[in-house]
Amino acid sequence: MAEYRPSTSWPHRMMSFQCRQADLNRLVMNYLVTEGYQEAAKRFMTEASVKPGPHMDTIGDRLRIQDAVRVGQVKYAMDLATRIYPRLFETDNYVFFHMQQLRLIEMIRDQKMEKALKFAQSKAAGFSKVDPSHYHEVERTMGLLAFDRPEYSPYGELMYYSYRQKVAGEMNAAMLRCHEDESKSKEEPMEPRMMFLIKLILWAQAKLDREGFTDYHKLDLGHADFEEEFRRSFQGF
Amino acid sequence: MDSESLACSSVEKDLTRVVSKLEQLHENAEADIGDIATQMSELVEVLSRAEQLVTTLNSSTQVSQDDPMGDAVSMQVETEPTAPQRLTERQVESVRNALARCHERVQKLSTEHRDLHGSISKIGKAIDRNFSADFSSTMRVDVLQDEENLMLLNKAIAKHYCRQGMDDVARTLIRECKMSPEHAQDVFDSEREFADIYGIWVKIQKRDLTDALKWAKMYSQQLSDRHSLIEFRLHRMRFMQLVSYGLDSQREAISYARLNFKKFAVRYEHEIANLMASFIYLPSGLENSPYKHFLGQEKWTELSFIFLKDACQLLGISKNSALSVVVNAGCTALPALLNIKQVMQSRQVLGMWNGCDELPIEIDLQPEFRFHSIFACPILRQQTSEDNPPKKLTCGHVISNDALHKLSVGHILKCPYCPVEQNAEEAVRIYF
Repeated sequence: MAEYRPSTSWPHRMMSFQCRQADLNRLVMNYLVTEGYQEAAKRFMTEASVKPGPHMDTIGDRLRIQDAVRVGQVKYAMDLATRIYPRLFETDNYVFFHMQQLRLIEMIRDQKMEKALKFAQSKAAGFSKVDPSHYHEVERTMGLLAFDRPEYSPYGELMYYSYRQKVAGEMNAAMLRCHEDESKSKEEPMEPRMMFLIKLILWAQAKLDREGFTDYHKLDLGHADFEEEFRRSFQGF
Repeated sequence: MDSESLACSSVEKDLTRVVSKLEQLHENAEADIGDIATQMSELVEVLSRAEQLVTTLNSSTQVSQDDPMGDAVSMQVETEPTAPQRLTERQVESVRNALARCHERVQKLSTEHRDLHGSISKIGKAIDRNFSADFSSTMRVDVLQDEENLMLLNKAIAKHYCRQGMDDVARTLIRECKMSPEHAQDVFDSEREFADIYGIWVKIQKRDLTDALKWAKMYSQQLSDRHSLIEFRLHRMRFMQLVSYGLDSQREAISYARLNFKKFAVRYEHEIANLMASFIYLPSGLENSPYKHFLGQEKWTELSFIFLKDACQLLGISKNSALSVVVNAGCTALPALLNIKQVMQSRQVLGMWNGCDELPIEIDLQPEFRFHSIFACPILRQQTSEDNPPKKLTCGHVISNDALHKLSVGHILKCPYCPVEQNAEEAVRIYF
């Protein structure tokens, strides 16, 4: 009987794994479609002969809405989303709250204090009825009003582009969920599969480290030449 | 404390008994007087009816005299009027009986009322028995016969008035007791600072923060060095005051926040965010919001006391006047002193009491009334005092002055705690 030798079998299994190009292509397409990279998805579909999957039909709409959020046209984005997905904000209060919050932030950025106050105090904004667990987000947003230059205040991170990006991502996920509910399909996850895969790889590497195994090639996401690192990882030694 | 509550409950018990008796008497008297009033009303009615009858008969007689009829009729009328002018025997008896019954009842009420005098006077006796009216054993009256001491007392009282902003009263007292100009000046100089603080304190309670904010701005750096909350608390309260004025002043509130909150941004990040969110509730009113506790008077009272404490601490002055401290400490000490009065008298030690600076027993004052540590000499096992102060030896140990002299041989002193020999005259007095 052959003796179990984990320190040598793992690298061997890694090198023996047959990674098919078609699978990789589907991963990439899934990522592009889910995240709304319409042009890239179209070109990839042509070049790699890969089918886009069920979310391709909504990619244009989702892209327009996300772009509107990213440039701060929040009301336009909300109106557009409501027309395409009438029940979107009824089923997802948290995203609705964040979109309203972003509208308020844009008014503050534009130095429109009176307008911002009026909006914040309106019933339509819904801030006085916010779930208590999110009230501190309302407070921090209103805290911006206490400073002439709110971007330098303790709550300044709300004014950064990265926050718009974050809310745009939440909107995208909410729209995908809404679409999913309508089509009754359970096949496509909300998050790109590639993201799940990367998280799984990182988890597995951490577990191997804890068990004391070091004799294998790690995927280094911090590597400067990400493309080269990725290619090397998937092609073995 | 137990004997005090026992005394109070004892007097209260007697008082309750007397009060219930008085209430009972009041009820009975009310009923009796009601009956008497009813009988008197009936009597008046009967007499009134009788009087009416007599009047009618007299009128009838006059009419008859005008009648031109014969003498026979006139003669017949002359006989009748005499009889009806008098009450019947039955009526007289009825009146006499009613008066007798009224008299009897009034007499009874008077007797019952007199009986209560004894019970009422018992209250006085119970109070005398349970509470001491004679404080002479706890006082040193001779102290105030000294001119200097009397002047000091008047000075303390004058300072107390100055602290309350009652300068006129203080001046009157100074004039009437003929205080010297130097002492009078000291009264006003030493209490000027507190009088200012006191004035601001009163205004805060009246919801006027103008002077408090000015003061806090003046001492901003010192307050910050001490990590005092008061400056931010004042700005917070002013901000919420502006917000509470409603939608019309929200622009002013925003300007106030931008002008005053910036320097507190890091330390009070969460508090400022919470305050700014209050605008959301303005359309429906702060009184219907999580911020309604800012509208009550308690918030202002609390703020005024925080200000008083921090301001006095920063300026290094006492929060309470010397007079109020002494009076409060005395009230705390009095029950304990009264409790040992009997012991003192029975052992003929009153003379000893008046002769020394120490109290015969230890009295537990509240922490707020403890200003100095107490040092007891480890050699003589007694507290140090003005006459026998603590002395620090060159080796660092501390003993009382009397012990120092007892342990010295000429100029040489050997410390009782360590082997160091030293010159006794090099010991220095210390203050705690």
